Amino acid sequence: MALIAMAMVSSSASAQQYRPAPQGDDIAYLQLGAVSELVTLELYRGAAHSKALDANEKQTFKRLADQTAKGWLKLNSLLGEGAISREIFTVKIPAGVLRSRAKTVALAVRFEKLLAGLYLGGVESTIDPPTRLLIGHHLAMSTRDLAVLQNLGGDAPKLRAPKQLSVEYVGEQFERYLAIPGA
Amino acid sequence: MMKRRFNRSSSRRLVALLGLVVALCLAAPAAASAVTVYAAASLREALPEMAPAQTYNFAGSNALQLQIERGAPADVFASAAPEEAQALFQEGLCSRPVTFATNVVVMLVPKGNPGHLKSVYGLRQGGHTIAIGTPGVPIGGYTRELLARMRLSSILTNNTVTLEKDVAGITSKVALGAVEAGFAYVTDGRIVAGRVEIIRLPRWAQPPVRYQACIVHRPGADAAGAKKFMEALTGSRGRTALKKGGFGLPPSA
Repeated sequence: MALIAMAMVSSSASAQQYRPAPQGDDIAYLQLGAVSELVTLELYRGAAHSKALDANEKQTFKRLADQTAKGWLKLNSLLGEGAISREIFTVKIPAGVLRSRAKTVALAVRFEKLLAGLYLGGVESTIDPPTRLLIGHHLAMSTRDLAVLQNLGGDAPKLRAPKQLSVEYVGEQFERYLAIPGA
Repeated sequence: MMKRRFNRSSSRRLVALLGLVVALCLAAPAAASAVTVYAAASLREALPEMAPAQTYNFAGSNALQLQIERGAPADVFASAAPEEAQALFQEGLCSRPVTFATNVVVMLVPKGNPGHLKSVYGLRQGGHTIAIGTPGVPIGGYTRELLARMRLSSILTNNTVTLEKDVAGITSKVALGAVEAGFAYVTDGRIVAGRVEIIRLPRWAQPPVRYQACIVHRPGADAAGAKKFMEALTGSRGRTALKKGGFGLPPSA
């Protein structure tokens, strides 16, 4: 699956020169993608400093955090005036998760599965071709990160394609980790 | 007898005159310090709470922007979105806008929820009546943005939609039961809390609702009064009133 993911990344890389111009509800995948990547990024950043993980595992999460940060910045930059900022909401990862290695890895796997499922839906539904290619690029990244995390969890990477998930479902899952300041 | 009548009449006139003088004396300082504030309809409770002595004109921010561009006698402009205040600033008609509050878009339903709507997703099936803002007014733009982010733009074609020119119109329609749902700010829901129910919309889909205010530049404007009002708005008095009204607050400067 990692090889397939790498192939998708390289094939979609050339598409990055075409700036996405989301049409109609295409924006849903960029918006929820940006929010979800931000939540995932917070988990990875926390895991990179977690005492429950050894040095190699922390290094892996640091690498994942760096890659996720790049992806998040790309998606957020496309939201223009509606870009996510701390005055709109803040991310809260439960402290108990980061105190447990198993819980940290399990939540990271869960997040990447949700992201892959969201992006798969986006590839099928978006109207604007550059937006679709960008989402395909993020799908490839998520499946690659999922393989890394499954390996970290001691599982052999699954060869099954990710399950497509709705915006509504993925939104509900990530909503739990968000708080509106002052609300 | 004649003299007495004359005296009574004179004293009445004198009392009336004194009363008029006292009234004028009392009114004069108030008139001198009252600034005219053109503000977004969603601020109709919070601003008078903060500064009751000022003169207010509440309406849709886009309509107020247009009035100021045409020379309306505003001293301060408080908009529900940055676009309107920034446009006036670019045109040289007001000072650099300052963000003073934030808000959240919600779905309002009449008390008792006659449309049986448990969430915004209930509108996907169609057949309901809803009120939203016109595209030009900030709440209308925010609502469309939020629905697109949730892949729910179709509800604007599946349902019977009433377009309102400001958020007060949306709130009234819902509170009176004229529609089954309306999209407004959470602060509007709080104003008519006894007559509506608030259905929260996902945090992840919320557009950034930022209120911005600026001092209007025009001949004859009360610049000193406007500056004082802006200081109150962004200071502790304003922040207290806004927080009480349910608004979010930007980090203090």
